[in-house]
Amino acid sequence: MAFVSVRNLNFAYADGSPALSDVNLTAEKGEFVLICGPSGCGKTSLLKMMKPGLQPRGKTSGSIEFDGRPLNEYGPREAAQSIGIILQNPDSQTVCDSVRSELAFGLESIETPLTVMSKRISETVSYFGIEKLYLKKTAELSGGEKQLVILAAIIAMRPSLLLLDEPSSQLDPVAARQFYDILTRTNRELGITVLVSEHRITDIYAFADKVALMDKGRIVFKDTPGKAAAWAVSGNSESLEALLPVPSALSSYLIQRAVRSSQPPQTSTLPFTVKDAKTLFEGFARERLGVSTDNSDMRGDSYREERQKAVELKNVSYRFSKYDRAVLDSLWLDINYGEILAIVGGNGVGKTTLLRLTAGLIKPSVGRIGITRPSARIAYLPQNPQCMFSYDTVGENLLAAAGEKIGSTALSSGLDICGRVLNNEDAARAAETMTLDGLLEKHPYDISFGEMQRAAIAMLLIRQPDILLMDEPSRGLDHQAKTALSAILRCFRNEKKAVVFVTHDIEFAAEYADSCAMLFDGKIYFRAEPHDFFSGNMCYTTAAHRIAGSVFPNAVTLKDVMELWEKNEKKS
Amino acid sequence: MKNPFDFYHPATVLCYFLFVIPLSIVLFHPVFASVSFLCAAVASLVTAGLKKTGAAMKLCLILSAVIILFNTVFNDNGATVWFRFSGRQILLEGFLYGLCSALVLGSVVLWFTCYTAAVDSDRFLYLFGGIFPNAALLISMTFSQTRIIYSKAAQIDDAQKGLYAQTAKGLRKRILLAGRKISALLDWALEDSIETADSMHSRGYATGKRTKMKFYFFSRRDIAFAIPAFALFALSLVFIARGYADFNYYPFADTIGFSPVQSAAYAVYLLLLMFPLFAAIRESVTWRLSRSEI
Repeated sequence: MAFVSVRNLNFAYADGSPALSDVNLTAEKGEFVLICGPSGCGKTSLLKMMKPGLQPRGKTSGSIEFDGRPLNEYGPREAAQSIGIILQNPDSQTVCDSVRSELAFGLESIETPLTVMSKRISETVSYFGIEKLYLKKTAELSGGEKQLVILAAIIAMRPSLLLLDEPSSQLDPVAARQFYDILTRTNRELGITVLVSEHRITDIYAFADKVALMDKGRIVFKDTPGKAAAWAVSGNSESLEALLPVPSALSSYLIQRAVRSSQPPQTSTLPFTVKDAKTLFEGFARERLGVSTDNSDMRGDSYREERQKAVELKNVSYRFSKYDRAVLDSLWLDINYGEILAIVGGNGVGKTTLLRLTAGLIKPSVGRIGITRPSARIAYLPQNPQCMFSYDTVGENLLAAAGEKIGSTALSSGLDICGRVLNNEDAARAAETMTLDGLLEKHPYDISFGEMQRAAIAMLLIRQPDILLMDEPSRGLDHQAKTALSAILRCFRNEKKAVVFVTHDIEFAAEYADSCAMLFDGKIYFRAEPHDFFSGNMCYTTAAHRIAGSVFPNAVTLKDVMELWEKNEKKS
Repeated sequence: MKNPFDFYHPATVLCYFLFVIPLSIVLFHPVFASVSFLCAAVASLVTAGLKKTGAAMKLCLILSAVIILFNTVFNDNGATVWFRFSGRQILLEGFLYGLCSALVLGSVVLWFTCYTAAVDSDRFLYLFGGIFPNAALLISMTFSQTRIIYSKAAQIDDAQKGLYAQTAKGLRKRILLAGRKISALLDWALEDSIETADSMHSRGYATGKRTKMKFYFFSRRDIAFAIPAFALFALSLVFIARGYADFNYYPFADTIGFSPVQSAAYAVYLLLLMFPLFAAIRESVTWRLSRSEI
């Protein structure tokens, strides 16, 4: 008898829309199960079904057993103690004013005696190594730190099952990795059973004991990570194939080339770590490529073009208050029309500040920001898409952003847009490209974070800006939405508009930017075309470059590697 | 430097301020007022630090200037003419009274600066959370929510400015836009609060009785602080009841007495108000001692 077993679970929301159909899933004690699938595939519903008190309302059939007993036999307190759940949004999950009260919150709620409580809190804080956060206020913490504190608060309650619903979707990659390091450690060392759902899986794929692939409310495949990767590439599911980590995707390509057929590789397992993929790649390279590899320049032609300046930041400094040190310090930067500029850099280096300065939302303490064409329209995508929506449906928000009207007129005309033809062509096109079908009549808060992000981006696009500034546009987007976004950004670039985004997502910057700039110590330390920017770096670079860099030093993206491979293989 | 009150139990600290602040408010005797002002400045320096004390001092200066000027010019209760200014008698007593009022007000501002640094919301709640656990939790949540809502409002303002600033011209549209911002804020806050409620319930909230974690412990250090402080406070009250802190400004200001008993009253008050400094000194001395013994 498995520790957790879900059998023939069906679930439909109260409005009749099915969320889960015939789901079967088991997890042994101490197992780490990764549930992955595209946005809206039912991952969240499945996890919430397993936590008494959070079960969504609707029609349910099937059974869930936990530790040998049906889940509905658990009393509220027992369920609260033994099953922990972590949700997406770190801000709304924190309850208390200070970190230590937050840590004590759950223990206090289940009436833990004082002596036990002190022991649990102190041991958990020490185990997590978050002593530095202990005396802080929760408002002072970053999103990643908040997620860690919540995880610690739950572990202190000694659960035997931990459910996590896309816990890293709102964190930057550095914070996400740190979170997963600790999560996997608790799983390995404390033997807590973990069920985690994610669509950004590169960081944790290797840690999973079992991967369940989910699509449209069903679990379509479940097995070890290697087998799941092999299953996904063998043509079974395109949307799941796109989710695969880069190492698996590259390996799958190589194996496919090796058998020299258009058929997908018939292997039962695929490597999923950079290390294994690198070994495989170098082995294949020795075997199949000539001694002298053609390492042609992978840079496109566009980077040599003369471009017109859109915004000039001259000697810009900014500090939040008199007592703080400057976040940006004598920074010089040109933003050009017809160019996609990616600004990368670590946490708290002032990337967001730089965007807000450019958008004119704050004024520099020193220096000047010159907009070359004063009539240029600037659009700004903030970090949290939630703050973009002020109307009740996605459609109305799009209409309002289209700009003819603000207020009551938009409300009345917004009613008849749903699903049918929008009365504004631009709005319809933006919705279509951002795949917002079926979301138009929903409330912005009833859709997932990724969908919200897409809707917010669509709202900006409708305004047809000349200069588009985006803060972490790829956060929370699955592969499909990222591809859609990048197509739109390219469109913009080709129309000679300026696009700037700041990001932690190196892969995204490498693949889609025309120019990358490194913000560090308040200044732009380095700016170059992505291939110049990322090649030669060991840490701060893409997974494809880490795998193939020793053979193809100029290749940065998966596409580059494939292209070069093709060229060289033909020669030999 | 670390706030020396951090080493004490919140109850000790709160009691101390309950002794000191009322006395500072009621004692208008020039010596008492000066002592209180000077000690408050020192206490604020050692607890709240230079930056906050500086800000409080600025406020004190402005208030003092207003009070002194106002009393000097308009206070007609005195009898000693100091000088004449464009036909108006300027009285010495009025000036003196203004000066002492400024000292009293300044000391209260500084004591409160010190208080906010020493007893933050967390400590305050801790004191009352044991008695009213649910109310304490509610207040703690309100504090954290207030911060979150402020930051959300700022973000919404930014985003909406970016979207609609160019179209929102004219008063009517601007009012409509402001209404939209408020509705967006409410939506967002409500949506998040649903998740907060989920998070609370998933951690066992409202499944029965609660216990309360203890973060502070009453130590010997607290006793060594509280007993002398209380003794000095009681002694001060005795002196005050005997009239040693009385001072008449009108019609003629009393002379400031320095008889032995009167001086003792000053000394007792001074000692009581020097406790924050003593605590700070005690911390650095015990630290040095603990180092030198190695």
